[in-house]
Amino acid sequence: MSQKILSRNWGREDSHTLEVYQRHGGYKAIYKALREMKPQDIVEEVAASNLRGCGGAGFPTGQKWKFLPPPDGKSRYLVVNADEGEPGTFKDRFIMELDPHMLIEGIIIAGYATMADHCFIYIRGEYSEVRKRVLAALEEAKAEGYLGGDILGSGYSLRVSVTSGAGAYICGEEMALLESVEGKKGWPRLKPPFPASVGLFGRPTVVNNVETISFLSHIVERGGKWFAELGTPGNGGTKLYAVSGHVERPGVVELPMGTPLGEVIDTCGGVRGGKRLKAVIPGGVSSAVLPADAVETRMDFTSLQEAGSMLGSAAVIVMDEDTDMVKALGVITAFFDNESCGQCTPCREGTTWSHRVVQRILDGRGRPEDIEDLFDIAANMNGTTICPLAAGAAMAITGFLTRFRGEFDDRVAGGTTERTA
Amino acid sequence: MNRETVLIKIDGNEISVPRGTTILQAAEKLGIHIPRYCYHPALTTVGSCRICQVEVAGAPGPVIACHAQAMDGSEIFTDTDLVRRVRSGVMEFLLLNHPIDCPICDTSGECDLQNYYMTDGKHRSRLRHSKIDRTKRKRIGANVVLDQERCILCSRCVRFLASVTGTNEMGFFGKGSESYIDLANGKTLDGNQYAGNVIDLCPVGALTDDAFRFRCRVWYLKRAPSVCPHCANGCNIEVHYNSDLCWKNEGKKIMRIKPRFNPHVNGHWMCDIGRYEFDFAENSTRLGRPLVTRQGGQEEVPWDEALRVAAGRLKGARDDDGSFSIALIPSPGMTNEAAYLLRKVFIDHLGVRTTGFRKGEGGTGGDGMLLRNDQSPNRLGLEIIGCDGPEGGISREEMFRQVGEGKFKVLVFFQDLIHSVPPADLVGFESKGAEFIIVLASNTSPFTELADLVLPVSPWTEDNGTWVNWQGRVQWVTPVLPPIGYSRNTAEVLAMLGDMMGIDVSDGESTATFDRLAREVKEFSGLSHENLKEYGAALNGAALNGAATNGTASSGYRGSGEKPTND
Repeated sequence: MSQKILSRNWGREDSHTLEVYQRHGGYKAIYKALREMKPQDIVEEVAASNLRGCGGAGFPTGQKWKFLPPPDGKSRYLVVNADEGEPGTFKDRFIMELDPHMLIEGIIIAGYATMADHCFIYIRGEYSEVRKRVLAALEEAKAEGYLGGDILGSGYSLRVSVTSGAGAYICGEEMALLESVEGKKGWPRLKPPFPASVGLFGRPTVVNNVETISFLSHIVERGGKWFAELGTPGNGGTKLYAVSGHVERPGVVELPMGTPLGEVIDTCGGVRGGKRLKAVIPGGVSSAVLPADAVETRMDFTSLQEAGSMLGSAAVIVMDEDTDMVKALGVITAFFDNESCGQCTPCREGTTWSHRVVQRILDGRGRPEDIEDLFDIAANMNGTTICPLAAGAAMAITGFLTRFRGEFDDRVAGGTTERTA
Repeated sequence: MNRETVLIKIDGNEISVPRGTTILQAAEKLGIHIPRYCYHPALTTVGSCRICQVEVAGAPGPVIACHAQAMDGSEIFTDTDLVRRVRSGVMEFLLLNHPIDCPICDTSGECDLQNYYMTDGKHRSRLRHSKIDRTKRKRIGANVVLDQERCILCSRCVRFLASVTGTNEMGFFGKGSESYIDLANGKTLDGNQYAGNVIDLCPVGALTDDAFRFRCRVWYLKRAPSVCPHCANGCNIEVHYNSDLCWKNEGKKIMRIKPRFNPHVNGHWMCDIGRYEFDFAENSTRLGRPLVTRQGGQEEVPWDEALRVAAGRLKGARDDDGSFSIALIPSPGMTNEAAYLLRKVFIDHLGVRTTGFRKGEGGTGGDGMLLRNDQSPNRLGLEIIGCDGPEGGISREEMFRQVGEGKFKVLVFFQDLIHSVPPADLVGFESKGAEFIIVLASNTSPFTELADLVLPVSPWTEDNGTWVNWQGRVQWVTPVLPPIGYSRNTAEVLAMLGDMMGIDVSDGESTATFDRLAREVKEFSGLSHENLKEYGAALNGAALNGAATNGTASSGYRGSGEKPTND
């Protein structure tokens, strides 16, 4: 079995407590980081690890940190994105629920490396229990002297606050998230400027995902090179795959970056009830659906891009042979219709329009030209907006239409593919 | 080429622009118009409408021209297949839920949605659903009516109220296609003196003007530049009038007033007082003929008779010591040309020593935006020209009081165009303190009713002359409409009066009079009507009232100084 990094404590009793975390080697990395390393050393180590952002975009973490301007003596912020709103994604929840101290240790390291003096953890509103766990863990860490002023006598101080979302998917987009933390309506901001130069409250800010941050203690302890070698070239480390849908044992599994899709599914017990695989969404609903023959595809950023999809948040949604693909797309377009923030024209109108067209096809009132219209709507949404929400919707739509065109045509033509699933 | 400028190419045309210039601004300089809805030069950039997308060589996709800065050496295309596809895509999205009710929409004819539709629309709807219903005809201010169905959510109005007036009456509510613009909880635009600007900002027919709605299609309107007469700021305006279909509107021609861009004075904006108070220029209170009071009341007389009466009375107004006993009350609303002739006739020739106009009376300060406490458009001009007389003036109220005491034989009163009449001012009239009262006015008032001689003069819409605003900026007001009845502009009346009394002034022609003024009064030297076109000009070397006269004012409300091209 492969190496467990993030999930190594998950099976233990009371794994969420400071005591259990420390008993199994926790909070050692911060001694090394804060006492033996300069912030710049950590940045270099992370860059060497090829760690890429686990929130969905896959931006190299070290590079993101390097965009920060030199410190000017005023506040700068670390923001942890724990909004995890992409349908199918629930990996960060496992980390925060089962091993919140691994996240906190990572926060201390990331904060020190980026010279942030205040960290905000933005947890989605639906995760009320998770929030309690994180708050309790923060209290424990503070009592132990790992947070607050002059951590471990290093002279470095860090305050951590927890902020809750209110249920909007868009607030997982980093710019909307910053607006939300500032108490405003969650609307993505125009870039540039990027958060590294003008972020939270107008100050330099790094926004990282929970999973990304949780890797940091291990990279500090064992070196960037070790981490890089775990994955495929350019895609370092292991990965948490949140597997849901028609599998025997849905859940979160940790496998090396670049594990073939079929192996990820097999780790979860294979397709439910011995059914045949029909399709897989590999990285949350914003990524293009893949047909069954894509099981050989390696689950990393580069390989999935080559396969015409993306790793995204590595939320693997498995669909068996009974799945009605038109209906599945309807669920997805309904989601985007509901979650578009309404700021940019193409997304605001396109997500609603596309959903209404799909819904009409589902209702048995489709027209042959609807399919071309959907392609067109998707094309006009793709890459024409401030944030990538519309692009995600467009990718989902074109993915379904391209790879399962026949089902849509049949449904429009009066439908022989009506299923009960 | 240096570090401060970048060289770019737009549609094959090279241009060098300062670093930081957006593609849209650079294109503007080349005369290339890039469509825009949410972008406005005086508002924050949000980049949400997406109509301004252009292609930049090497970029992975289209970029928004309103936000993307021109990078050195970049090559930009505003009319490629990609750009046309993206634009027509955005147009299609915008029109998806927009009611195509142009035939009954007031903005029809000056609507950016219509305008861009002609070039980038798909002309065939692919929507096979019903449109989303929203609130229509919601009154959100004294004159502002909101139609949420027509709204394209560009948020210009919201941003104006947030960043220019700072009053935040409106907000962007809802999410996704359920989004809408509305008043913020408990707020209204009533009482916001600048509310009318949101109507100008609205690129479509979502915000319309209740004072203008359904009264005239915009393509019947003619437009003439002018300057607002309501306060010392002298905001540049455009008078929109209709001289062909005025039978529809009780014979009135002026349909509405809009702000005219002037980076030194008012930027893109104007206040609602200037916008809505123009009825006096054409209503039934206008005076069309000179009136002489004889037994039995006021009688219409021809101009030459009226002027003969006036000249005779003035010449006869001698005191025992031989000086003229004339109480003269100039109006701080009269033009410099009229003020100059007033000085020539009354002060230089008839020897009036003190007038009912005192320097520094208008009050300083304003509301921090445009409105000044001084409600006169040309107080500074009169002060410079010396309309207070060689011994300095007294207040208008004091002059009226002295008239009431019987100190003067003749009262010559230049009635303020618009502003209300304080009851105390009528003392001199009612008591008949002077033997003869001459009033020059555009509209009837308690003054004109009590006068012995009324000379009808033009309001600002028919006048021709210059004003000096509180900053010391000289601006030229040109006639928008021909005179009503036999009214004439004040300068002409004064010139005729001078002529009748054998005083050589000028024939009252505005430009020639200004030229004489510019030769005689040093603050005006070197200026001519010609060089006041468009933005006016600062008085000579004058830092009057401590105001910025060089036009470098940079307050936020004046905007970026970029002239809009699709207004």
